[in-house]
Amino acid sequence: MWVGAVLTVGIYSYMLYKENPLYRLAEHIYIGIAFAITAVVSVQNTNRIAVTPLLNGQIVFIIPIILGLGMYTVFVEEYRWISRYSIATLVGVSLGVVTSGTLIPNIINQITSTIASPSGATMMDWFNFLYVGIGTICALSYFLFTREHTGVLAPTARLGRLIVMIALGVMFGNTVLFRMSMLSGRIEYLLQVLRLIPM
Amino acid sequence: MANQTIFERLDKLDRRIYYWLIVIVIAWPLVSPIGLPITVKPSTRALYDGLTAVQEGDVVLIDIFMSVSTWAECMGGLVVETNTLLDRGARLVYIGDSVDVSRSWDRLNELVPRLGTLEYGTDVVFLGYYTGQDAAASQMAVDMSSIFPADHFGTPIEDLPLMRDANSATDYAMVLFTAEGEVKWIQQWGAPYGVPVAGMGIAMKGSALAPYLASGDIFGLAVGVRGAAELEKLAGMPAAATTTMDAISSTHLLFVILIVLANLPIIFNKIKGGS
Repeated sequence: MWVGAVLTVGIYSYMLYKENPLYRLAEHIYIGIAFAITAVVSVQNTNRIAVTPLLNGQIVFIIPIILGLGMYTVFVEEYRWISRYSIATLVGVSLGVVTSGTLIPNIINQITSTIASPSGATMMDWFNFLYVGIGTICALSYFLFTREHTGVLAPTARLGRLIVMIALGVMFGNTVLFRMSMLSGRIEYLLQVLRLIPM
Repeated sequence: MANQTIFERLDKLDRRIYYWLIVIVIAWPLVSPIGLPITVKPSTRALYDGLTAVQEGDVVLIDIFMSVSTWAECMGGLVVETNTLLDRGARLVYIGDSVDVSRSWDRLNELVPRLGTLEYGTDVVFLGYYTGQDAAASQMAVDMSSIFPADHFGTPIEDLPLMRDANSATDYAMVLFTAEGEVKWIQQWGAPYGVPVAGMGIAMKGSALAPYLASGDIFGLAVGVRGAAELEKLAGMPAAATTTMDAISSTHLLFVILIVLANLPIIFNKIKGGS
């Protein structure tokens, strides 16, 4: 635990003090270990889901192994064309899987929930409904570039811009909350190592 | 120098002082908890109600998509989810799309000792790491064994009695996501197969997940440390997340004060008619 505490202090020493050898050491150790863990887990995973079944007689797993190895040919200019088949397969499969799954939850359900009025609702529910509805229309009008933002489009585009800025502010606030949560986790770890709080 | 306003002095202040201030404001409530009240949001209550509605013997899939860095945000909620589901007699299948998922599994076992008393393979299974996002989730919905021919410990999946009852999406009572990765479950399990989806998101995902909650694609949602603290309150097991909320609230109060201080000179200048 003391190793973790020293490395944590080392990482934060850049911010709290200045760049120093301990920070550099901790940074390099972190990058090295992160890559090592990723590499080992990836190899283990490939071995488990493709290599082992292949060696147990399931010949069909030779296909993903060849496609996966083909990806590495991107580093050799002479054979880079092989990687295009692997990338094309990957993109095609991903596109097909995502497209089939995205229609209902990401498009139909979102439109339905935006335009459907709340049932059995409180004042707050109606406010949210109107805010989301008007905000959606105004934000979309702001991103309408085929027509100049004049006339009836001027106030809606202006309001849409304001709503987009509010939304971005909310996202920024959530990001700050996330970062502070991560920091609190590290500080809690340090306090536990120093036995100022229980484990 | 003598004619500098307080705002100019604050502006020229070494930034490291602000960073130390943040560290102190976070650390102090962790050592000496304040006990600020926590109100429970409807989305968190809906998640908890969903957990308590699980029947004995139901199989629940829990996706631990969190790394060690997000333990502070999500581990508390995961502990509450696990304890609540075990109280209901559910059977649990854990998987994870993070390379250090095994470390999270070890930590979960430390925080929920009950997991060690269960019959592994019958009441609980840890299948381990997987990759492939939507493609993997889509394939798991049809045949879990094609993505997990063995569990994390190398046991062939056909040797796990629980997995004989839980090899496709329709065998599961619900899917719970942790931290991230919710979209693939919504798109590949929720929409096509009607499997209820819910879970915990990191704070950054709060805005992104709200539309799914509004449209009913997820039935419950707890966001960040606050969500974990709310779950702890609902379950009656205050723990790390509840304590951390004091630190988070104090830090955010500090941020509000600093933001106001930073904007006051601009406002005063405008009132005076300056640039």
